[in-house]
Amino acid sequence: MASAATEASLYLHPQTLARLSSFELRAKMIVEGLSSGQHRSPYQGFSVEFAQHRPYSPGDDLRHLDWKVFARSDKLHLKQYQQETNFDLIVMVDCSGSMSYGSRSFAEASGAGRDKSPDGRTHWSKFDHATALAAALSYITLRQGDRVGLEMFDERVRLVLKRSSSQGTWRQIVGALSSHPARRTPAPGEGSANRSSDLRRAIDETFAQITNRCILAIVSDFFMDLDMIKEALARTRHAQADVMAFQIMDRAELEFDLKENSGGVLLEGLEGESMLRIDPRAIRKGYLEALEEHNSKLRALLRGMGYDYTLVNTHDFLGPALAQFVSRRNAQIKKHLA
Amino acid sequence: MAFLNPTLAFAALACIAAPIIIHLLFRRKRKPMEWGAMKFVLEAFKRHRKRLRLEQILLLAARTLAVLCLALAVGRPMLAGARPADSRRAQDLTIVIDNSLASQARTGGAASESELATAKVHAARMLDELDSARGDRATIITLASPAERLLSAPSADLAGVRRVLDQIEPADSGADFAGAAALTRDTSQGAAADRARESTIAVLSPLRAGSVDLSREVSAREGAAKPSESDGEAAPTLIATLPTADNAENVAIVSVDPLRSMMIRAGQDGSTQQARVSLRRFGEGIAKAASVQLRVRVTDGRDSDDEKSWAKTAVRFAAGEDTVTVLAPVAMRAFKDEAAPAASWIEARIDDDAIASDNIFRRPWKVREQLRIGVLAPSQAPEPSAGPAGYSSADWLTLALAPAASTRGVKLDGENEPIRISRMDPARLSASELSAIDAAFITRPDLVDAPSWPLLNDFARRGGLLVVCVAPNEGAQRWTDEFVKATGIAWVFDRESTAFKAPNPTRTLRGANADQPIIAALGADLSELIKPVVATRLLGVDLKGDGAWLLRFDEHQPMLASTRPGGMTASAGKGLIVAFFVAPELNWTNLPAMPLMVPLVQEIVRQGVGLASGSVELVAGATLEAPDDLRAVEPKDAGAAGAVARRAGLWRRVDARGVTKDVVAVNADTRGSSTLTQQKSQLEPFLRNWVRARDFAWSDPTAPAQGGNSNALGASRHSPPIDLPLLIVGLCLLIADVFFSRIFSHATVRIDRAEAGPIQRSGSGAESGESSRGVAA
Repeated sequence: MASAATEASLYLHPQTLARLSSFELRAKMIVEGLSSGQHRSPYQGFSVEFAQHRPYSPGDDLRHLDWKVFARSDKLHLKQYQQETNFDLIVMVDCSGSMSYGSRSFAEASGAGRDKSPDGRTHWSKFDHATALAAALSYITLRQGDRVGLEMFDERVRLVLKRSSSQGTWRQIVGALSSHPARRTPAPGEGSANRSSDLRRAIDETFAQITNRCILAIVSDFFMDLDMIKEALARTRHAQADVMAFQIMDRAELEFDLKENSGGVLLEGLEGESMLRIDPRAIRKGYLEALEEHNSKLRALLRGMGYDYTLVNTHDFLGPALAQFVSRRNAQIKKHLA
Repeated sequence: MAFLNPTLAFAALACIAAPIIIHLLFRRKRKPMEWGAMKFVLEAFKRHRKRLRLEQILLLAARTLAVLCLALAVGRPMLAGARPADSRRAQDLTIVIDNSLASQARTGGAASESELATAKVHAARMLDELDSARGDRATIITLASPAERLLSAPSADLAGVRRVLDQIEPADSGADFAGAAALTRDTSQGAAADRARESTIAVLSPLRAGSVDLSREVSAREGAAKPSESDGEAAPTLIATLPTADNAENVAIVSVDPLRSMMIRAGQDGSTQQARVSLRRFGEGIAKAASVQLRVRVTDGRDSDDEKSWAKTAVRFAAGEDTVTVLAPVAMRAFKDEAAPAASWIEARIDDDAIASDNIFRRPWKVREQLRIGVLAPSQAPEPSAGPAGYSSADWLTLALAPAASTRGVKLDGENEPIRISRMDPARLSASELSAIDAAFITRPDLVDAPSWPLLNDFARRGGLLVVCVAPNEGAQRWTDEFVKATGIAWVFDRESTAFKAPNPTRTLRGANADQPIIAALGADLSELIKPVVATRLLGVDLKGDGAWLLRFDEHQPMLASTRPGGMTASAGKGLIVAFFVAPELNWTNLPAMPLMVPLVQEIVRQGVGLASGSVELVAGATLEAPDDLRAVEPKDAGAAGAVARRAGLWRRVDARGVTKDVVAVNADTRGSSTLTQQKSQLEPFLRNWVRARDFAWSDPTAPAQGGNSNALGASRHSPPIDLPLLIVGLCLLIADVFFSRIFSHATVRIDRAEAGPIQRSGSGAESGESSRGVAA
């Protein structure tokens, strides 16, 4: 855990990491855990929390008869209870080419105050921020005794860490994320650079491997076709999974305040798009309109399905954003239960 | 296009490439910037691609054009055909200034300046642009007919030329472009001989139809050849002032024809005279009806100009009518109680309009106390017993001349009679006798000896009326040879008279030529008066087109004809010859006993004497005979007449003793009265060919001098560099470029975070309130 903490400190500020201890991530829906825990289970048993009555049938365990009801109504009813269990969190991190973009300096964003990333970058990429977020979510989840799995995807799932609640899980997750070559120029055979994201395929591949209901934390910039996202989310809904969507975006992408050079700016896409010379100020309005339209539809799509959506700015510290997310989610759960 | 600074111009023109080069340089391959959200950049770019392309093109065009204009402005270009004013050769400038009648037009009323004055100012500006130190010379040609060169040769004394210019007076003759072209040719050829000089002709004229009647100039335009390549250098450059566009209404008196060619004062009160006056109007107002007050009088110059001395007539022009002829009364108030003046004239006036000189028309008109007639016949009295059948031609003519008296015992030479008759022996004629009479009736030409015919011819040529009757004898008419020889007329007489025989022993008069002035006063009565007139004998004659028949039996046989001494084809002269081809005796014709006789003879005398004596009535621009004998009458400041009468006016011709012999009237040439404006497009072909100009340019005489420097001479040819307009256009394009740059660079789209805020808030900011609570929790 110590070495993992060292690696995680590259991405998580110590204060943030300390604050994570107080966070409690709860399942919004009923999860199908394997052991008893603090999350509701769809299997109604005889645990602590009362669920409902049902008429007695011959053969039922008489221990669960509600004698008080019998005394009042002279009818036999059994008490049923909500069985509490643990949940599985699968963190799906987008490692496509666009996630390697970042305009924030690594030294400013890094929790360890390092100038460069392990792979020599000086900028804090969206993938770095996704790594920090995934590490934080994993940390919270593991602390609760729940299981965490990791998947990294672009056009397909690139890496899978099986769900586990063991002590080494967090280290594995942080290690996998920090060492994954989500960079512009990966070594041959390594990379996912210049590859766009295919969430639908990634979801399909994910649900091909799991059978129980789980929580999916999708960490991506969601620079993909909305129809594809819609199909992917339909798949998750069919699998009755809960989704927490974290859209990671750089401040430069949100504001498009590129410095103008005479003759314009030559932009090169990170997912194989052709280079384009533009006058940033000339198309800024159009860009922001297109971005706003995309994000609005994405937000509406997710919330329409009852999923969480959070836009995360890489220039913001993770702690406040995460605290905001967790508190909102918990409040929604409480409200729902009430 | 030429440049004043060609090197600078071409260097600056190369600067056009600067914006393009800069554009290309900025598009050069440079290190690309990685960008994650390329999806939205591409989407925005596709959405605005056309607009962005258009903006780029506009910006590039504005910048390139701005540089182009500024580059051209630096080079100081000039229009095609122009030459820099300071690089030209020494120049011979011929100023052809229009001082003809049309140039007197005043469009702003009588107090305004005439178009000639404007032309003089323009000419002075042209002279100011010349530089004698560079060898420039100038000369002046006036356009009034006949065109006149005021300086014998181009002069380098430009101040002297200026003084000559100031002295130019308006003339009342028409414009003589043909004469001016001949005069300019000499100057141009002089300049052409000197390769170091160039010739420029400047035509300063309002170019109204009165100056250049293009319908008259058609032959000149068609006949003129274009300058050949070989004489391209010799051909002059022509500058013409723009044709005036000011409309001017003008009415001119075209002619005044009194019904009587003269007035015999004895026995008349002088109040019943009439004159046929023709007026013509010009200008744009012809389409409307108009009225002009016409005043006519006979005067000898002693009358005051008060209203009572005029007979007034209102002349009305109908809409669309440009010419009107009226029969106007003529006031003769001055001669009621006084002796006939030595010189008198009819004067007609209308109110002043655009051109004043053609509002006055003068025509000499004699007033005589009585006419002196000499009847050339033997002085033998007729036989009393014979009665009228014994009357000779002389008797009948005398009776017709003095119908109130009988042929016998009547005082034929009375002082108070309008016609004073005296018998003269045809065999003993003398010049002194003939000088005392106004008309000679030759009733017995056969008795006139050969030496007397020249005397009679001289008499006629001096303004006498010669009435010749056929000799009453039946034999050969030998006198006709001497008569034709002496007078020089072309008539061919038969050798003998012819008597008509049965079955048609008489011939009746069939025609009367009432159009001839000598009998015009008889008018419509002639057709009735000639009907009873028959003849039994006549002398055949072939007029050969010389003169005009007055009365005739048929198409080939006149009874009465008239001609001028020397024939009608000879130069205009005085005198009149009237011939009877039937002897006015009863054994030839019944004419003496018919009602036609008296009015016919009276008209022959009264009109004939006036027509024979003639009136010297000229049109301005005509050459005067013996100008030294002329004394100005009207206007009094007309001064000496000069060899050519360019100004309208009236002069007395005096003899060596200072006695007035007659008067000479010069009227304005109404061909120059047209004030119609003409189009440049119509005038330019004529002007170009007029002097076979190599270059042609219009010059605006009304354009003010700029910055103290006039540009009259170089209005087009030495056009100023058009750098200022280009500079202005270039600066405007630069301003447009800045404006476009500001708009198209979207500088107004401020990059502020508040704009991007909603995107952030949409995900996290919107929940920031809960977030803060969550963090606090």
